[in-house]
Amino acid sequence: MRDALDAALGAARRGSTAAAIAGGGLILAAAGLVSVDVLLRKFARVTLGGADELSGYALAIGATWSFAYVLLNRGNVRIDALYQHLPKALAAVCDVLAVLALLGFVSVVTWYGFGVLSESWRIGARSNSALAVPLFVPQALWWLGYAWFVVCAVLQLVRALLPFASGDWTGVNRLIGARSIVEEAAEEVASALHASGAKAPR
Amino acid sequence: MITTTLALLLGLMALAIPVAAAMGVLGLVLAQMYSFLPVRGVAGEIAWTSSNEFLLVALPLFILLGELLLRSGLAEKMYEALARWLSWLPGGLMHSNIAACAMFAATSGSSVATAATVGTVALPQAARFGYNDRLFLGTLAAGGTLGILIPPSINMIVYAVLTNTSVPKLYLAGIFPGVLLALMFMGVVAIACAWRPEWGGRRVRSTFSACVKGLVHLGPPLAIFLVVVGSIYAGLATPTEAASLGVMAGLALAWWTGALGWRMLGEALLGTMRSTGMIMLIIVAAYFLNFVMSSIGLTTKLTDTIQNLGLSKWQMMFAVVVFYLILGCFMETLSMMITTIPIVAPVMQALGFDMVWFGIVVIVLIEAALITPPVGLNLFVVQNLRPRGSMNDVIVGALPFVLAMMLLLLLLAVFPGLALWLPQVMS
Repeated sequence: MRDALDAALGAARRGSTAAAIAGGGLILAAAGLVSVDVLLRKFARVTLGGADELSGYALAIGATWSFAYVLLNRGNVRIDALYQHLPKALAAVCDVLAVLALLGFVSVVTWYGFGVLSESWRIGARSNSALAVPLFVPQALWWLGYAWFVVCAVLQLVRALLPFASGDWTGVNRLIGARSIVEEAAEEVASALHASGAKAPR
Repeated sequence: MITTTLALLLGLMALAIPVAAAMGVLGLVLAQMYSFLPVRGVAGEIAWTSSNEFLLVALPLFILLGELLLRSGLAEKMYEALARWLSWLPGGLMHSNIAACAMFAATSGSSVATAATVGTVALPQAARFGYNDRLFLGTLAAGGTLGILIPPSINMIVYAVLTNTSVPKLYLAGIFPGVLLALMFMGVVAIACAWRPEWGGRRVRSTFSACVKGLVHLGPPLAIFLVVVGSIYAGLATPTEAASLGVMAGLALAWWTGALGWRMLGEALLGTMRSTGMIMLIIVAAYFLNFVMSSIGLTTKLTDTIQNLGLSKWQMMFAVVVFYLILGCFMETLSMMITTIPIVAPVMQALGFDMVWFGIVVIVLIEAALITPPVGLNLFVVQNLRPRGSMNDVIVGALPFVLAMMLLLLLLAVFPGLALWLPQVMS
């Protein structure tokens, strides 16, 4: 059970990282497209048209595709003023509640989000612009990110319930605990140090 | 209704429920309790419309630009060049810390990235030239906060989206206060070092020709600033378009310095999406919560209650400043903005405050939040750059700079033109 879950969670992590990078790629592509559009407009007095619309889709899709990555890397902001002083058992309860709350809210969005998508499909909705994009295409890609988040959150929750059931609070914390601000800062510094070629101080 | 909502929100936050989930769940509960219509059903529609807004695209683009610049290694040469020019002042390199932060801020929209980038380059110098640790650390933590006041600025875009304010106007309004705050920070250093000369470290000597030669290295950041901010005011680009051009320029710069590679690009993209995903989920939840709140009449009730407190215009301003100073001690800054601005800004607008001016005030308060304990992210970033030593050094070192920020707020209140003159002249 534990091994199968770990394997599944590992796969989910890899998938989520790949999805986040792909989402970043979309943002980068949007930047390229918008830049070309600006330069053409200025210097050739031509406009591609629709660069703004497409980059909006890139944001919507890129964002949802990175939600699962943020979740699995414990990147969602939590206010830990009280939490960090709680006994480990109580903190673990908060951790489980945190995933449940995220899962609950995102499930509702995913559920009704599917309504948005299927409605666009049903009436053949097209965007109100020169491109007249069939809206279900970007909406389907956008919705996939939410659905993938729900899958990952369920996996993560079930996996975290194993140590939770056996009272292994450290195990719970490692999986779904709030990242302390110290960890947060360490990451920021690591990328800066990496750039300057220096070695991490500790 | 208000008491229930507040109790729920505080309860959820106290349990360390992620901010996005807390807002979303609160919205669902409020809809269930107070709404006669199935408000919940619009969650899908709101999630879609709130996340494909063109202005919001600027957010990941500016984050990406910051990630690229952070990894491009342009900070080192820039810092050296500034150090040659400024180290004769009492306080020596601490002035170049602040100037380098201000300059980097003109290319980056993030305070944390600014503190991390400049801190990495500057900190090894502190021990070498015998500076007072605390003050030196303070200049980095505080200088870094300039990242969001001097355009471009990620937080200003969030503010603009939440309040329907013009980003170009906000960017223009931030320039003078940003430069002034940098000068005030330098003033703090100069005064401290005049009072205690031993804090100022040993001078770095430099020849005039070396100074002039060093100027070349100020070129790249200046070029990025011109591309990003210049293109907006030349009427060439909207903020999102400017951010796109900035990303392209950042890529070119990273290629030129030899930092660009697949691995570096992958890391930059991943870092970007980590922040973007985190912020966008909060934005989706906030839009949903705001929709529920206004559809059950809570927003009106809340603003009415605040207005009926009977506070005068400036009493209210004082209350808002205190509110943000306290809240800023405990809350991550973007979440703080997204949760509070939709309530606070309309009240301030009704009282007759200019929304661009108020935006600058909010940004300065956010800067203060970044260097006030216990949750001041910049303090931790700078602390993390040190091999050893107590966190207290950074906290104490940053304190005088918080005072400078308060002084700036006072100046903004007395001379609103500091922020508003430039947007007026340019429009």
